[in-house]
Amino acid sequence: MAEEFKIFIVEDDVWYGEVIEYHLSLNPDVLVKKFTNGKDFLKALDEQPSLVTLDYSLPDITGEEVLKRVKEFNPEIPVVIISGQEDIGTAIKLLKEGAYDYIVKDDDTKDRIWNTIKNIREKTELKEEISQLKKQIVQKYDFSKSIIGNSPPMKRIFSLIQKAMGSNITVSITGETGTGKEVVAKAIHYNSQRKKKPFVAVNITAIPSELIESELFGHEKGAFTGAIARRIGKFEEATGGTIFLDEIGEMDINMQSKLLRVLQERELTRVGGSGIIKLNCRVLVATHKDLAEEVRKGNFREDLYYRLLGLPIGLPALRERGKDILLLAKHFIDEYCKENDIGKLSLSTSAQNKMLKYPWPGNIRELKAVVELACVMTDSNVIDDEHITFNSSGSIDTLLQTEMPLREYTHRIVKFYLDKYNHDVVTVAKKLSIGKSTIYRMLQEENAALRGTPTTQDY
Amino acid sequence: MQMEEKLYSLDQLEALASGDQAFVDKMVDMFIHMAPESVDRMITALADDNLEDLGAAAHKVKPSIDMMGIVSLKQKIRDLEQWGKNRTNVDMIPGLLDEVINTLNDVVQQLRNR
Repeated sequence: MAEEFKIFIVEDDVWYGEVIEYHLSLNPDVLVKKFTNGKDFLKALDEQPSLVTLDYSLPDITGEEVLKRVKEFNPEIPVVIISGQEDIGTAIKLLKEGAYDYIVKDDDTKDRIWNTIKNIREKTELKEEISQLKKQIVQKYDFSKSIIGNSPPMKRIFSLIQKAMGSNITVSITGETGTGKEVVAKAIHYNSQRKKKPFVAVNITAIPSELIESELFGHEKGAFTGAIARRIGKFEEATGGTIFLDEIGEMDINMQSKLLRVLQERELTRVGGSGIIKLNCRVLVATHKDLAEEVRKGNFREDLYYRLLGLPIGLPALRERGKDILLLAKHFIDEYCKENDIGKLSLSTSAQNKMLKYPWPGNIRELKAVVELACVMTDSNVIDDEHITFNSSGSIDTLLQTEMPLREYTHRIVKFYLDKYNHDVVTVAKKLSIGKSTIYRMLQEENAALRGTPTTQDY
Repeated sequence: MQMEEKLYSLDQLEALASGDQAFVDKMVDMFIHMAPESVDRMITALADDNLEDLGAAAHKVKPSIDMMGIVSLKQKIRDLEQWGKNRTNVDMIPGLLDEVINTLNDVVQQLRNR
């Protein structure tokens, strides 16, 4: 916004024009141009003034006509009418025709113009900022950049997203935790025709079940204890845009029927209200649960299930995405380096192998955390396998996913107990109900192996 | 008309200029040149019985009279503007115009000798 603020003064009273010009020029980043008649000014409109102050009584053209011509040329240019007399009728008429303000020439005129300019500049800056931010968001969710992957399952996902972008169909996104359900939802929204309207995300699990109805549909003042003011619900907030209901599988069964009704009727009433509000938003839902299974178990209404199913997008787990793991890791490394302003880091082959073997129970979210930690741990510009530590919540399933010889499993278990009991071999032998000698033998083997090539993994 | 009495005040201009004397001088010079032009226009308009143009001329000179702090003309120039525009108090206009012209001439004189 370093651009000059260009003010055109149209004023046939040379003396007064001079005063305004002087006053406005006190601001160093303001460029002032003066015109004493309407014709000259209209010819110069091409220069795109940021603001026009217009004397209402010009010798050649009426102020009204000049205003009309400016608005025809570019309705965005603010025009402040400066008039010699107070005439409320004229003032209202001109304001209706698009004048930004109507100021009477008197002792306060200068200050009022000054204020008006301040307001207009702030408004212009905010407008520019908003349009820039909007552009940034759209770029950020340009899905070719926000969703990374080359693997066959991801290619299928891309084509589904593309289909979702071009229509208004409800989309149900499923996938394990951390597979990027919200990223997909945003990518769909910000690449659809609704991108300029709000994207409203609601995590069903984050809201207590007794509050969810008013959260989604809003409430009127006094609808219940504590409802001290009217509140717009998320569905209304998303008008024209998209509502994203995350963890829909966790929704209370009573609430499910209310939601179903709203989706069927395409209209809602606020809690405690009677007015009907038309629903105008696209619905995207996500869950990590198998909804079909929940329906079978009676936890999820079948009719709602079909209503929400729409276009189903099942996101693959990271472990099913093969080399995508490395693509994503590289992406997160680059992101980390950029954010922290450090030189480029790369992954060693052994680090790559280690990552490819790991089952990633926490998926991309976990990958991101592991990569960021590795970036911190390395002292050089190479991330080696020793910098990669997996801290997954360590369910036995995770361990089993790794697929290794039974002997290796035994080693892991024993080592875990040794660490836990402070290398007290007697206690560990008791806990695991094995002989002490087994433990000693194992430790010996390990020492031998350590002297050779380090093959142990740190998880 | 007592010439000793100062008919104008540059306080407003000086406040605006905040120390920039060149600007004040420039505006005073402009006023000295423009005031007689306005006077001529009003005299011609009255002679042609073009009261609307008389009102328009008064309207145009009004802001500078205010800014130059010519307090004695503040109401008179407004009356002239309104009467001319609406063709009211027509018989009082010549007398009022005389007063305005005299004061303006005096002001210009005072400004020249400033």
